[in-house]
Amino acid sequence: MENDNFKNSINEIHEVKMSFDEKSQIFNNIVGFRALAIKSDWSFNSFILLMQRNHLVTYVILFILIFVAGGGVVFDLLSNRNNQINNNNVGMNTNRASDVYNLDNDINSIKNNDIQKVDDIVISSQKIDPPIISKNTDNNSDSSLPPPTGLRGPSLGVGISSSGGSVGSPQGGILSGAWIWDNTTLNNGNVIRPQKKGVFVITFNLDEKVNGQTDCNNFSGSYTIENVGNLNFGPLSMTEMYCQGSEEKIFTNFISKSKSYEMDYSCNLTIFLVDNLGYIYFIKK
Amino acid sequence: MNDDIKQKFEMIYEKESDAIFRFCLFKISDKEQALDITQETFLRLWKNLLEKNDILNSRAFLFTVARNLVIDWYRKKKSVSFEDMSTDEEGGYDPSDEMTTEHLFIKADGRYLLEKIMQLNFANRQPVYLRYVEDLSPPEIGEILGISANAASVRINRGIEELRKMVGGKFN
Repeated sequence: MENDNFKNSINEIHEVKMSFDEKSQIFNNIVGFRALAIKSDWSFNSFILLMQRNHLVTYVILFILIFVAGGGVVFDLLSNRNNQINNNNVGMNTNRASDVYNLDNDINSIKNNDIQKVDDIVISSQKIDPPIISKNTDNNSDSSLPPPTGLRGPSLGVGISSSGGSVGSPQGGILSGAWIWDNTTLNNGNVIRPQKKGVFVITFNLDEKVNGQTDCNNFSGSYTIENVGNLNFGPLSMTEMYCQGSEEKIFTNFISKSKSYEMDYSCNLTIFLVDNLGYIYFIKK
Repeated sequence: MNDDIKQKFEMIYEKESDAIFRFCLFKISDKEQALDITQETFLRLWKNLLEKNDILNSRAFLFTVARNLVIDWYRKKKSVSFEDMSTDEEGGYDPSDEMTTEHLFIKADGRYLLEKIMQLNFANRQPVYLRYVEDLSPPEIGEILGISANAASVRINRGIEELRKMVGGKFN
């Protein structure tokens, strides 16, 4: 059955073929076919079925849901707390802005009248070199200046207080420690800085005693804190060594004009001068 | 990765496309329909390759798919009554086993042989065609027809004996 005639007949049958165009077209149609995405067996329905068959899965899912929901409540509470803090800060910033505005007005109002008085206080000795006085044109940009909040803004209950109290009380204890004179800012905009930084130190003790040192001599005495943050110094005794170019007279003059104090957020000390002349800014040592 | 699949598919297509087309054409005698079924057959192969399904014997796979598609095509035509479809001794009447050479441009000897194959007993017709025309092995034929390889061999032998009697000494 497999002679040549049979094979020829088979070959003739094999000649029944697609044309080249038909073949190419079908091939292109198939290869150009974009396979549809295979639907995953892990669908929502199978997940529900799994939960029905295995209660452990259900409990785990419930636990996760409770955990996530509880976490959301906690985060919500934290968020509300942060918002409250932010709102307080906004309020304080508003007060800061108004304070700065008022301060500028005060400075302008006393600029012509009080400048001579300040000069009289500061320049009391002809022998000393003029202190470094710069025009304070931008209070906010000067990092050495106390934050405006510390000037007249509301006090926080975290040890920053201008309320009065006797020495030894918590309020009086705020001042205890050594403070380094950083600068004195006058209401006319001048900022006076010591030439020798870090040498002018005043130390408040809990027993109403104060001592300190300048760039030449040491001093000691007493101080009292009265209501509403009023600060009064008693008589100060001072060594009498002479130093060429000392700035201690300027410093002691400022100290003697102290009226009240306040602390800023950085726990640095601001002592305000009488007659709204300005303030002395100390940095915690 | 798709390039490898495409290369594999192209190789199979080049080798088997004419056989599948011929198989379809002899069964439904409609060239356009045969082309459509051929395309659908190879499209299913392409999908299986993309889905990383293992196909041990691509020839058997293609002929099986083509045969099923031809059956579906006949069922859609409803040219055969339901009673006629249940008269076969092994699983019912298969309209796709009907073959015709009408409108086929085949040379004389080839047409003669094909007509004789189509005149064979219904059960032996397709095994003989697949064995001698398309050169499929009995296990492959058994897989395509849904019978065992031994049953396929038996049908082939019966069919070839029947063919010998029909053609006389022409192919001896």
